[in-house]
Amino acid sequence: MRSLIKFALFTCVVTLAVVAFAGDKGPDGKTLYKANCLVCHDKGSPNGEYTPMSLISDQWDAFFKTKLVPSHKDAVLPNSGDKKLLEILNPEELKVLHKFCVDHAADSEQPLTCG
Amino acid sequence: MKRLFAFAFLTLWAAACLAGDKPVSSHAQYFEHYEGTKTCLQCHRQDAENFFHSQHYQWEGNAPNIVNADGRKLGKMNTINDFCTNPRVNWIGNVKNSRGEVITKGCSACHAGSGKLPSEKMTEDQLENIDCLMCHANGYRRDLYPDGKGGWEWKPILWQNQVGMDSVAKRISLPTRIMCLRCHSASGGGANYKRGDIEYVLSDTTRDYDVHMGTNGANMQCIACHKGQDHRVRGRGSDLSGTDMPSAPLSCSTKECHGDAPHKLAVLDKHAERISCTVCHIPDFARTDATDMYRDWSKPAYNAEADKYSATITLEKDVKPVYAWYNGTTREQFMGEPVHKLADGTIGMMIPMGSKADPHSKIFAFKLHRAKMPVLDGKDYIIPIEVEEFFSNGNIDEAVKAAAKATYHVDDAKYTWMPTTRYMGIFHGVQPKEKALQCLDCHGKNGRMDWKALGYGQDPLAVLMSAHK
Repeated sequence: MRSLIKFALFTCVVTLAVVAFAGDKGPDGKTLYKANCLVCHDKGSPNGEYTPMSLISDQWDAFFKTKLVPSHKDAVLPNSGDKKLLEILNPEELKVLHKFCVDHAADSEQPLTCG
Repeated sequence: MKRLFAFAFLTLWAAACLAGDKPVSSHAQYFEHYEGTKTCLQCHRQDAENFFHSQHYQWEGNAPNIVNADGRKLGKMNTINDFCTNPRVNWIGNVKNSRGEVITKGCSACHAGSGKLPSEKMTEDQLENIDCLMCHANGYRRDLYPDGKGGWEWKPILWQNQVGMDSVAKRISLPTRIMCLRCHSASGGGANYKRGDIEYVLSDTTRDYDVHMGTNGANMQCIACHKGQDHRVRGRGSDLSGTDMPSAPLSCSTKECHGDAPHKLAVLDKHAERISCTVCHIPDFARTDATDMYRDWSKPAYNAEADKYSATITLEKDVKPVYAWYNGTTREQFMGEPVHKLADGTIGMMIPMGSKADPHSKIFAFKLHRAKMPVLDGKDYIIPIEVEEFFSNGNIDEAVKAAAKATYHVDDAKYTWMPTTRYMGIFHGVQPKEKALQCLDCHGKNGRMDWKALGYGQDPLAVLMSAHK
């Protein structure tokens, strides 16, 4: 009987842990894009307007692989207390952003402006 | 021999273009920068001229299958339907809702042109209006932009990104399923609203869903059946007015496809003499996306989420077809002619011709679409609706009167709402034989055939059996 209770408790703990872990997915691509990209690249911005559908998927791949770091190494996120963009975004968030841009690129099935 | 090699090369090239997911840059060697349709015209002028005269550009064509056409060229452009009625009065323009969001851009969104109405006369301007990339470039997307002259035009969304534009413009292939489905599945205001049997899912589905298009089935592209020549496309279903290739109607029973006697059982082949394959092999439609079965334009409906008005639309899923005799010809209700009422009092918008007594008729499967449409008092002319502004403001009276003015030059039109009926052939979503109808689906106690309406006194099998007793 004891071992049955132990097993039941163990199962509950594992289930709760899995649910808690699954619920903590982090921000989605659209939210990340709005907070970190659109904030400097909105319509009329002196930095140039960029939305996911400004580029095709190959161009987004090239951007995230080779251009993002050199072109944004000094970029500071507005209203963040002078924090640098590349220090704010962690590798996982960059992956999510990259996927979002490719999924909604100009040559995707669902091009998005992210407006 | 040279011809054989050329044919083999073209076949392999087309297959390569259609097979992979990776976009094929088939035109990389032909031009450096895409500068609109004039880039295509450098090599494809004859193709463009052929296309200019086609159904897909003119939205009109010869209509020998419409019994009351009287030799007129017909098509979407000069006829009326009970979905969004007529494209000429709803052609192009951004219409916004009260939140400032664009809710509609006009019927030209699905015209293979850059926004100008097709003209009768072929001009350079009209040839350059043809948007080749819509049907031939993988990854091409476009949107509506001001044309600088107070109007609107469709332009690639990459118009400010020449490198991206050049990449997409070089991915040329024959039309793939998804290229066709973007327009043919989206018609009528929503996914699968209009046709019922042409669903987005057909772009990537299984044999179980559609034996022809399923990727683990024959994996056929739309153009495998609808192939034509000189940019003419075969097939008209049962309710297209004009058609590109009336002399080459689509049929399952050609030698290249299934022949006249495709079954192992003689009794099934006997059935096929008077019953279209679709009857047994497409037992239902709208299996993924619900389809519009009834559209009541007299009752505006407001969608708060989209902040948009529409007609009151009844959507249904997994719909059983209705069955009727059809000999390949249809009677159509035209604008500017008194309405023709059926026995049930509804206006027959598109009615299949044929009967049990007609040896050229077979029983076909149909979606039966009903609607309520405005009819001009005194003249009995059916009136289109200027739906674009209506989507924004919900004023149906204004939308009908504006269309009556534009179409019949009548001020402050008086009109009456009348019920309509349209038969639309069901031809897609052919299922494997294991899922085809069985004997009792039609000949059972609660069989799906309305034998009386089909001209039989009762179930013909019951008659046969009682004769043998």
